[in-house]
Amino acid sequence: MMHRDLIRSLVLITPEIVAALTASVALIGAMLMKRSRGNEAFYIGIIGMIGALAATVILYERLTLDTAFYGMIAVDPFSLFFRIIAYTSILYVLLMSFNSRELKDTDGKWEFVAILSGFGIGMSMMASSLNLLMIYLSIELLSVMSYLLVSYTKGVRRSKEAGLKYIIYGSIASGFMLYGMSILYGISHSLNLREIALTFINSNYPPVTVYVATLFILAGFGFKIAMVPMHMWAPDVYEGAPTPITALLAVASKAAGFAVLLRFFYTAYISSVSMTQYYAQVSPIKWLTVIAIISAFTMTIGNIVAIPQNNIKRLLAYSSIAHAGYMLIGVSIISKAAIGSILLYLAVYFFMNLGAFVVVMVVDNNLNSEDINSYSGLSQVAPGLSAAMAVFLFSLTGIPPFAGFIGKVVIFLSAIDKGLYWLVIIAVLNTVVSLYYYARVIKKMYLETAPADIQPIKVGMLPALIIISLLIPTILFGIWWAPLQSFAHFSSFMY
Amino acid sequence: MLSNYLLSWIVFTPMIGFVLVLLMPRDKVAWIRWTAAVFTFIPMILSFYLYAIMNPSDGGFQFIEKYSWISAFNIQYYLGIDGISAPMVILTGLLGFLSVFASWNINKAHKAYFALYLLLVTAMFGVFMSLDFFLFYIFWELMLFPMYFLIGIWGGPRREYAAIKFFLYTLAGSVLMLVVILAFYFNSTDPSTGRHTFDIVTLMNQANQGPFIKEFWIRLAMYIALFIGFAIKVPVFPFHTWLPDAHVEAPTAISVILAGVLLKMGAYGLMRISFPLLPDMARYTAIGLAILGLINIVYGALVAMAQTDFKKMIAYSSVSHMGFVILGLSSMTFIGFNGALMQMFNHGIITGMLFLLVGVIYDRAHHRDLNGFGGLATYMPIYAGITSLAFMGSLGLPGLSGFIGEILVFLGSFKVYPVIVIISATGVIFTAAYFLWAYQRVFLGAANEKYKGIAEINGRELFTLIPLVLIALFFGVYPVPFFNLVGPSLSKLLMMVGH
Repeated sequence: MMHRDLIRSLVLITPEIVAALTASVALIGAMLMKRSRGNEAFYIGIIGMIGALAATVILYERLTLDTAFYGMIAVDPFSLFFRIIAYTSILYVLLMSFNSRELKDTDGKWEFVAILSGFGIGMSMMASSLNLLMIYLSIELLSVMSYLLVSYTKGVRRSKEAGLKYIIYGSIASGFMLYGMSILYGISHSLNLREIALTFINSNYPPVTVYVATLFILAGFGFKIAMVPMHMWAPDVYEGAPTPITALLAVASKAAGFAVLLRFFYTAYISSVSMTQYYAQVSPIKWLTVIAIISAFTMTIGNIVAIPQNNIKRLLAYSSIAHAGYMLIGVSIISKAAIGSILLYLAVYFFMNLGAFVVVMVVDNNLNSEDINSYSGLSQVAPGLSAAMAVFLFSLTGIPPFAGFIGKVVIFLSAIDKGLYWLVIIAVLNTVVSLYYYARVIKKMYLETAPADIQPIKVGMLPALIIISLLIPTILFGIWWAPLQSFAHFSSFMY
Repeated sequence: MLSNYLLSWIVFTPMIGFVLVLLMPRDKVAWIRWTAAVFTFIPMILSFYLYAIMNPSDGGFQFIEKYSWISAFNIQYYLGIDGISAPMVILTGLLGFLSVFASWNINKAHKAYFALYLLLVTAMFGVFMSLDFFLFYIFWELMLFPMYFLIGIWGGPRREYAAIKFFLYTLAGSVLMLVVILAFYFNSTDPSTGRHTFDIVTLMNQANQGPFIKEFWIRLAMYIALFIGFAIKVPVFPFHTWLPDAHVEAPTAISVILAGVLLKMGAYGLMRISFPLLPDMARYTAIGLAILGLINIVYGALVAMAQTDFKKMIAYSSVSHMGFVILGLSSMTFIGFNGALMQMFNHGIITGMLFLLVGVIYDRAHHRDLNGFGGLATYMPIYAGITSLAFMGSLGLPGLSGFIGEILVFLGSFKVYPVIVIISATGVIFTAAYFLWAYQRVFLGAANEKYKGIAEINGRELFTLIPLVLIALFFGVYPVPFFNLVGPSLSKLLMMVGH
């Protein structure tokens, strides 16, 4: 019996097995082809990620609602959704890495692929864990891989500094989280999220204790999504990391943070323990209000501090903080519909934000600069690239007919449904603020003339294809998002 | 086929032109221009055809196209027009086509210019035809980024500032509108399906609105939020400060579109959405609206008088003239509504003409300083003649269409707000003053030697102006077709909102 359960569990984590195999092959490759500076490693990585992605999609097609490894991890549409995001974003990072100026001369490409695969496993597990210990381990796996990736460019001080900052901030956040988890374990005598929910129902815990535990755990999760006040690391790390890795942090790492945040609160704090208590608040504290307030601060601070930025990666870092704020609106409602809207937002955010980072990388490759001023007159030397960037930035602002608008509307819809008018009004006003700094980049590209000595921009075949593959959904889902809507809705089912 | 999907054809023909222009090589300027001309000509003709075959005595929505778009949220692709939107559609068609010719001497990035221009035309048609709140909002916002680029790239010296100011102001207004739209959605039920709805026609029936939005303060807040969104577009004092900047910096054709069509969207929004959806609040705040109208009329006229920049003067005259529309709407009377709608149409025609005329002189003299000309009538008699006609139309001389709109607004609102109307009437005097004074400075007096060889208005420019002149003359003498067109729909609106 146990034997069969184990085999069943192994089948349910096929994508992670494929990723682990990719990592192993890459490590062997690293030993065999030590001196190689070619891109063989990236091909292996791409094959591996496509394999993992295929396995995930097959699992998704079966639409299981299951647990594996004796209730340690859940295999449900929710976790599969995030596994798709994980492997797709790694795939994109690998594709970007072919052309990255920063990663060109590094001699550890094999290890790079291995670390990325580990990142993917960490992210998948974060989205699946049903157990506090498992949550902690998967977050740490993801974090350690992120620390390595951030400081991957050899001999670049900025990158080293970013890595070190990330480790220090990250360790403190983990420490807080672990402490919070230990308090939660102390009062509930369980590590399993569903059992914690049961003990919430059956006993009266002092709210202060639960508040302390919740806020500490939230600090750990909030660090991953760059939530105020745990956002301080983001600008420095985003600026210092090689651009493909910045994109990975902004898209995948943030999604992973939301996955674990939603899973934790949805399962432990408002569980569907019995039919009568569906959606019932089981924790004794007003944590939804806390999150709503944090959400307001996150988007406001992110947007306002983004205004004076002159480095495009720093600007996008603050913008990603603001976007975390918008998505937190959904967390503060946490109904099925709200979870679906967060997933839709994450999918849309994936396309537009990743797209913006690819453009940043291409510009950086050519002009060797991340300064917004170097975007002056870009539309005259690279019309296609500038048009794509304009679409991504307008979409990030949330202007129709681009997908970012739909993401925002769907989140606002679920908030208005619950009567959170004040939060929606703050959010829409934030949209106006955000237009100012996004439009600043657009203004540089279109409204200013290029300096006389500007070099011609070579986009290259592969980056062009990557940008187009991200541009099409950004426009298409702004006009016809019914398929994305139903995908996000199905994916909101949690075990 | 054509008449079943007539509205869609009008909306999306410019969009087809947009795609074609994008596919064209950048250096084929003539192809691009003529594509833009053809793909704005077709919707113009279709909008005339629409007028010819619509049934004006009906008063309800016609040519309805209604399809489910995103069924998860009950969002529809729902187009239809009535007597209120029909004149706006015709105005958009007309100015959309003529402004292509005013864009003939755009001198850089033609492809991008005409592509964005065609996108803008699609969005404008869409706004006037949408009967689904969500669709309305998409079209409303779709205007923003083409406009931003059109002002920002092809505009005057302070174009960057003007473009971002326009963008931020309008977005700030429209996001508030978005909150109201979502609030309506969740507090509505479609009686036939029992679901929430974005359908404007369904929402007009107060019985379909939920209990939450029946509360006084909620309704007032919603009305004010909607009003701010529309008021920024009109623009109503104190939200008007973006307008002089945008108008002055925008290229001629875009000024025409801004004044002729975009400003109407604010007033149209009040008539199509604010009044029918929240009629009690419209009545409750009518006096405030009248006061804002008064401020617009008098303040706009006084500021216009102080201008030395030709274009800025006309920009402020727009503020003043849109005040008449606001005053007419605030009266909540049939005559006042008729006057307001007439004034909207006229303002599009006459102010469009004025901006075209400024463009003519600016192309030749490369400045717009009212004090820098003098005696131009000697060198450019035809130009001076047309300008005098446009000025007279704008200051409300009987016999030209501007008069009809203004007199009806005053007649309609005098019964309701006699004091406000009396004070507003001073605006007419100021208007006459600044137009006549400007005319004197530019065209009369001793001929300025500097402009001795200045070229007379050319055929292309005349082509853009003559249709507008004819319309202004025709409606000035015989406005009955216009009232026949709008009357039934306006009385329907009045039944919903009137005292």
